[in-house]
Amino acid sequence: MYLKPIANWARRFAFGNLLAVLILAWLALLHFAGLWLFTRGFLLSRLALSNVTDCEDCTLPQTHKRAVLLVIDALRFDFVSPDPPEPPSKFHHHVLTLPQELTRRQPSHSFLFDSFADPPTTTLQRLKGITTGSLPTFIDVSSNFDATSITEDSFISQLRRANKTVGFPLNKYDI
Amino acid sequence: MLHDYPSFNVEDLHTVDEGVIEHIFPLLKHENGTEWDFIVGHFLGVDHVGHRVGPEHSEMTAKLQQMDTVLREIVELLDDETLLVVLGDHGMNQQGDHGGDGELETSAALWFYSKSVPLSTSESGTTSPSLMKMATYPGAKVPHRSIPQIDLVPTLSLLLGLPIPFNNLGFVIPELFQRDSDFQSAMEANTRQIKTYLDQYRASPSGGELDAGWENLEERYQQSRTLTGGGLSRAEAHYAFARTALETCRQLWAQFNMGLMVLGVLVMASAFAASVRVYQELSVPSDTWEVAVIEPLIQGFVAASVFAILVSIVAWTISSKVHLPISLAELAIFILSFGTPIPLAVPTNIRTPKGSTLSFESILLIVYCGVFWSNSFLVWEERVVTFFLVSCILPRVILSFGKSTGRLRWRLLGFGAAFLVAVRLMASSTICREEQHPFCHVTFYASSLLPSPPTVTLLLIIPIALGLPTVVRRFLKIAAADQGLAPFYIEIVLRCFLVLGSVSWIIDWVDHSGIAAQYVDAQWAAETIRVIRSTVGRIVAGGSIVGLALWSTSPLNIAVRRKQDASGETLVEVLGFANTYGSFYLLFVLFFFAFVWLTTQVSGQLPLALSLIAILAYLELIDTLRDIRQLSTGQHEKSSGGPSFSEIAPLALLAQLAFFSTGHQAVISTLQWKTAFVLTATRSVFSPLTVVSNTLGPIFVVALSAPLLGMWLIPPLPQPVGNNTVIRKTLKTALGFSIYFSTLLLSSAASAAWFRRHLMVWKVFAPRFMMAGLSMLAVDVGLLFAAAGIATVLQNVRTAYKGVT
Repeated sequence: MYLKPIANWARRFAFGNLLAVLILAWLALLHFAGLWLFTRGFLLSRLALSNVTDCEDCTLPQTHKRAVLLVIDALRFDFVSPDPPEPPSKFHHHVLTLPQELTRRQPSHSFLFDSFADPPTTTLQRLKGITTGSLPTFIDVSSNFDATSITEDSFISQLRRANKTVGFPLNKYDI
Repeated sequence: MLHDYPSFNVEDLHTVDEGVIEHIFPLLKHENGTEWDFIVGHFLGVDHVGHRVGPEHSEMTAKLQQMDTVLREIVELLDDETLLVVLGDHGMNQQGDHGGDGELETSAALWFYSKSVPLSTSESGTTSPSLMKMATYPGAKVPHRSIPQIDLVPTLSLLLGLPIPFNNLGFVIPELFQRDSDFQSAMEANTRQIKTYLDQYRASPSGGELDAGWENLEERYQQSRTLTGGGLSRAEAHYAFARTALETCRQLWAQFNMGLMVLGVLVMASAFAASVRVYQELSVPSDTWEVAVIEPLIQGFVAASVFAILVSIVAWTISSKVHLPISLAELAIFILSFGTPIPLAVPTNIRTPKGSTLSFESILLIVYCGVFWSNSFLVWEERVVTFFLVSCILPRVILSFGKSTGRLRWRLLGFGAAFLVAVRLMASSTICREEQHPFCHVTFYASSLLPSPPTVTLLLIIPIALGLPTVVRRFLKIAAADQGLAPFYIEIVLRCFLVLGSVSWIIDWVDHSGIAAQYVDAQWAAETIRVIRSTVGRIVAGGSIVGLALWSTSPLNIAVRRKQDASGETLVEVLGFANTYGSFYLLFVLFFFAFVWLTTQVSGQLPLALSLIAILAYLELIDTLRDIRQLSTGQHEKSSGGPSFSEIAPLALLAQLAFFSTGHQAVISTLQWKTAFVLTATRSVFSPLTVVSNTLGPIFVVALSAPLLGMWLIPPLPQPVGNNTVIRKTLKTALGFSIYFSTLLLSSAASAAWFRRHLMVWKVFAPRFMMAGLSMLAVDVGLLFAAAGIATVLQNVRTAYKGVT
């Protein structure tokens, strides 16, 4: 058998512990490879750049001096749609009717859209998307390794840069 | 599955929005002369009603009616210069929940309203219909205008005359810019911003991610810059570029790759099967394991390498014609890592160990794996671990009590009690994860709001740092194995390191509590304190490295004593003989322990000390239990197959408990960033090292100690039988320990993949998977260090007992 000499040869290294070291190193590599493959498919991540758009001529003349942005948590499109699914639900269709009413009356002033929210559809991830225009990921890898929260450019920060006053009437961010 | 939403105060459905309503109207009316340019309001009521009773309920009707009324009043109050935007951040499924990628969850309303300024003035139809995507809501008869939600960002920015945020991937909504040449300028500003972002991202360290789609993106961008955009209108070319960018980035960052996840799990599974096989071969009490393992290992390496090369060549040749779902590197690594263990994992002659029924500990491990499939259990994992640990030990102590007598009975009770008390005290230290409130009380910090150590730990830590070495030495004394340099290493070196490690954190506390500033100049105090603290840290870190080097050349912890017996013949007695291996290897562990101690905050040092005591008590307890079994069965077990899985499993549980009790949880927010500054005042190359040591150190130290189980009280003679036995038993223990963690890793990876669209995936399952992955690597590295340490021990033993029979 050719194996016995190999075993004897291996025993001469690391004071007999060579095979143990090799097996443990091999398993460590396998675990690492498995984790590497899995996380490449699972842990959605991107690098969060901290750059801020800073330019004079990259916008248009404003149409409005001010804006009111109201987030109604979990306001699904059909709740306000003029053409909800058939048959409509008596509980939530054609109840909040102001948007469809005004869109009908003033089509050049009022615009209603069905918007696609990128999953995961959790409030915190969405609020980030709504303000920065970026995609949700699990970890926004930061170039600063100890920064637990990363500030990306958003229209809130652009408002602040333009010295505009932003009011938050009691905003309580849950889930 | 149990879903609980502890952070929801869903009881109060009607007043939940009143805070916003109450505050928004004075702002809109500019009462008290308040000036503002932008108001953000967030109404939570609809979401709460959804979670509580679902959309098909009269509560929802009432809530939507209330919203309608509020919006009407707001529209009434709007002045001519104000734009109103109302939107849902996401939708809800038929049960009223959200988080996933279902059609109903990803559909959200978005409404723009400008009271007097019309947003679209020119004739309709100026924009190509290809820019106005329509979609039919599930169940509806009529299609409706549909846009990605992030299109809001560039649109709102430009309407308010602001630059578009740097990272934006949305595209301006055509309808809102139908004024003269506005749409053209809006699109140009938009695509330029997206291109700048992509360029910047590509120049970043992660830029390689974009390689695959880069040519296409460049081409699209060029088309939008030229007047004849490849047969498209300018607007279409702009639109096509922006949407290609969004799609490319979505593919990269926002889509799971199920294929890669499955491949990853397959690799972990084949590694698991191979380690189980090697473990079984090691259970045979002879030297045949080496031969039995080497052959399939060589086969696996040769076969997998050849196969990987062949497949890579084929894949590379066809890659120009066929689009492969995974990259060449991923494919090659998969074949290599999945293939090499196969000959080991698929044994030709399965040797089933005698009485191979599942042990109690194995059943507990299976139950533990089940915990990963329920978020409500997973958030209480630390309590599950404590319960399992006590369940492993207590019955064994009680059952053996009757069979033991005299000294063995005292040992059984003493070490059993020491272990259980240490575990119980460790479990009382917790940092509480968010989901545990209000049923969890933070003991790791002074309070949940004040991240400084509780006063009692500050008072206790120095006595503990001084006393722990005495306890360690006391354990070695049991087999008289505190000879040689052991007293010096333990009583002097270790004691100094532990005290300095605690002092480092007391200095930190003094620095942050502002006590020093009361007596001396604040600036001077802060700088001096900082210098002292870094120096203290470096003494311990550097000292541990020097200590390890010295240890490797130190003599064993034994002493030879000659005495004459009654007949005048000289007898040679070797003190510490019985625990030659274990006592010497323990010193090796202690240097690493000292470094982890330094990187652990004061309130974590207490449980860390307890974990060391628990390990030592456990080693003695297992030895006692073996002696008791030997007494009752008459079989000599010391030349047996080595530590059983039942004996190894509690150590793995102890490692988990050590992680939790040192102020960690399986959530990213419990990373203790302040440990980045143990060795240096500012961030440096050492910072990641100390943070990793803080996070994974407790698991690492227990992994490093685990092989002690295979060498504790193993007689070194005759040689080379002694050394070979230690090699086999320590490797078996190491593999058993590794198998425990890889079982947990497999289960947590599978559950994270399965629940990838679950509401709790990013809060519970994904972080737990990350912890499982990182602790697996910590265990692997710990066991590799252990193997290196063991080699040194083997060498010293061989030299010391040379020629002795």
